[in-house]
Amino acid sequence: MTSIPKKTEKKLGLVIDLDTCVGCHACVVNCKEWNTSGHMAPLTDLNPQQEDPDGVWFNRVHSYEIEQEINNEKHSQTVHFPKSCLHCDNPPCVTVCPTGASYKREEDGIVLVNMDTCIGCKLCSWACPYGAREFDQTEGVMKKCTLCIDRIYNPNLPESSRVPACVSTCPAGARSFGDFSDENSEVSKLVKERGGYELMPEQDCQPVNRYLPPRPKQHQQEQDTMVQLPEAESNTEKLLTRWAQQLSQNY
Amino acid sequence: MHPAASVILFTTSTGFGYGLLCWLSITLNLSETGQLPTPYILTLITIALLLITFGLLASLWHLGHPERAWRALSQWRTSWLSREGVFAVLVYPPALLMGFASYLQWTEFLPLLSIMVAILSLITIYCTAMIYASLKTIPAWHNLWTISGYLLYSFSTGGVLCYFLAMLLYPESFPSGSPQLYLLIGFILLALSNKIIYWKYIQRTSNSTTKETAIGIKGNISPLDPPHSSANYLMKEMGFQIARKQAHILTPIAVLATYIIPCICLLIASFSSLQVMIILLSTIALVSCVIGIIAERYLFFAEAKHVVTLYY
Ligand code: SF4
Ligand code: SF4
Repeated sequence: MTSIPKKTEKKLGLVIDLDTCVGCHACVVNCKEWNTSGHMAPLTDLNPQQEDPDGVWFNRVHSYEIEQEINNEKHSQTVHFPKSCLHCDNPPCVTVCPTGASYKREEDGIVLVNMDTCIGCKLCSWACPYGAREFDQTEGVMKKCTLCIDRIYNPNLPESSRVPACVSTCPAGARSFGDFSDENSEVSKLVKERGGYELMPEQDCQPVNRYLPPRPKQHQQEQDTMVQLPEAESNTEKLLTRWAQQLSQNY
Repeated sequence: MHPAASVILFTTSTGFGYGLLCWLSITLNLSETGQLPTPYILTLITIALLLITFGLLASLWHLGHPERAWRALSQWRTSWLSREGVFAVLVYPPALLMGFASYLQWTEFLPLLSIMVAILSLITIYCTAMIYASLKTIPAWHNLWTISGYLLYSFSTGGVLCYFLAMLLYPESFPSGSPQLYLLIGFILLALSNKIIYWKYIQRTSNSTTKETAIGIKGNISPLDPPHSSANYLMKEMGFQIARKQAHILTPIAVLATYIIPCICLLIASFSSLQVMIILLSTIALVSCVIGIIAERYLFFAEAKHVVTLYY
C-alpha cells in the first residue's frame, strides 16, 4: 500500500559523520558487493569494462570543495559526502507509486520496493529529491537501498555483523546505524551531541538519516596557543658535542 | 528532465483525444438543433478513442514491465498516476455508450452522455497534470500554471482537431461567427497566455532548495570529485540539459505553431466562404498545431530541472 504508516514502531537509519569520512568509497563498494546478491539482487552493471560504465549502486560518495568566509578570511575545506536512501518518514517516492510496489514498513520504517509488482514507471525516482533510487534497465524495475534488511535481521550472521554493509566496512567509523525513535540509542545521542541535521528540510520528506557536520577547522586556534620551540642548532661543533654526550649517556 | 519520446507522444496524443471529446460535447450542445449526424458523432468518437488508446499504449511502452500495467490502477488513494489510469479507463464506457446511443438514435441521451464524457476527460487531464504539478522536486512543474497549461493545451489542440474534422465532414457544427468558433479562438489565446506566464514564472522563481540545503553546509560549494566516472541513471534521467541554442529555436516554434498560426488560420477561415479555402486553412491549423505541441511538450520536459542536479 502506498499510504505511509502514521507511525512506525522503530525508525532505523544511519548517521553519517562528514567530519570523519575520508572519501575512500569503501562503503560504496561493500554495499554493491553485498547487495548484488542480496534482497534487491542483482545490481546490474552495463559496460563494466568499457569506456562508459553504468550500473545500479545504492550508495555514492560525492566530494566537494567548500569555501567559507570566517573572520574575513577565506577558508576552504574538502568534504566527502556519502549519499544513499534516507528512509524518509514522509517519503514522496512511496505516495506517488501507482502500484503499491514502493512501501514503508510499519515495523522499522525501512522504505522498500517490491520487485515483483513494480512496473518500472520511474515516477518514484522523480519524486525523491536525493537521487536515492536507481532504475535497473535490464530488469525493468526500480532499485534502492534496503538498509541491508538481509543483514540486520540475519540470524546466520554474528551479532556484531548485523549492521548495514556500509556501516560494517567504513574504516573511519564515519557511519553508525541504529534506531532514531529510541532517545538513548547511539545514533540519537550522536545527533544530539554533534548537531546532526536533515538534508533539504524544505522538501519536507522528513528523512530519518542524519548528517554530522565537519568540525570547525583547528589551525587558527593552534597558531594562537602554539608553544615556541627552541631554534635548531646549526653549529657543527655543538652538534657533535651533544651527540657525544648522548652516546656516553646511553652506554 | 529527459524528454522521453514515449511521454511526449502520450501527452500529445491523449491531449488531442480528450480535447476532441470535450469539443464533441460542446458542438453537440451548442448546435442549433441540439443534434449532430450519427456518422459524424461516430467518426469523432472513434478518432478520439484511437488517439487516446494510442497515447496510453505509448506511455506503456516506456514502462519497465508493461505487462504489469494493470497494477497501476490500484493506488488511486495516494497516487496521481494511478488516478489518471483509473479515469482514463472510466472515459471509455460512456464514450462507447454515446456512440451506441447515437447509432440507435436515442438522441435524447446524447447531450447528457456527451457532458459526462467531457467531464471525465477533463478529470483525466487534470490527473495527468497533477502527476507533474505534485512533484516538489521539480520547481518548473510544481505550480498552478502547469495544471492550467495541461487543461488549456488539451482543450485548444483538441478544438483545432475538431474544427478540422468539422470542416471536412460537417461544417454546420462550426459555422462562421458561431459562439463555438469564438470559444475555440478564445481558448487558444488563453492557452498561449498561460504558456507565456508559465515561462515568466519559471524564470523568475527561485528555488528554496539549494546546494547548501542539499549538503547542509554553508559556503561556496563546488564539486571536487564526482561519485562516478561516467553518467549514471540519475544524470541521464534527471540531469538532462537542453542546449541554449536548441531552446532558442524551439520556443518560437512552440509559440507560433501551437497557438498563433492556428489562431490566424481560424480567424481567416471564419470570414471565408470558399469551402476549399476553409479546408486548406483548417488543415494548416491542425498540422501546425501538431508540430507546435510536440515542440512545446519537449520543452516542458527539457527545461525542467530536478533538485537532485544540485548534487552534481
Ligand atoms: S531518500 Fe528518496 S528514496 Fe529514500 S525514502 Fe526518501 S524520498 Fe524515498
Ligand atoms: S518505478 Fe516501480 S516502485 Fe517506482 S513508482 Fe513506478 S511502480 Fe512504483
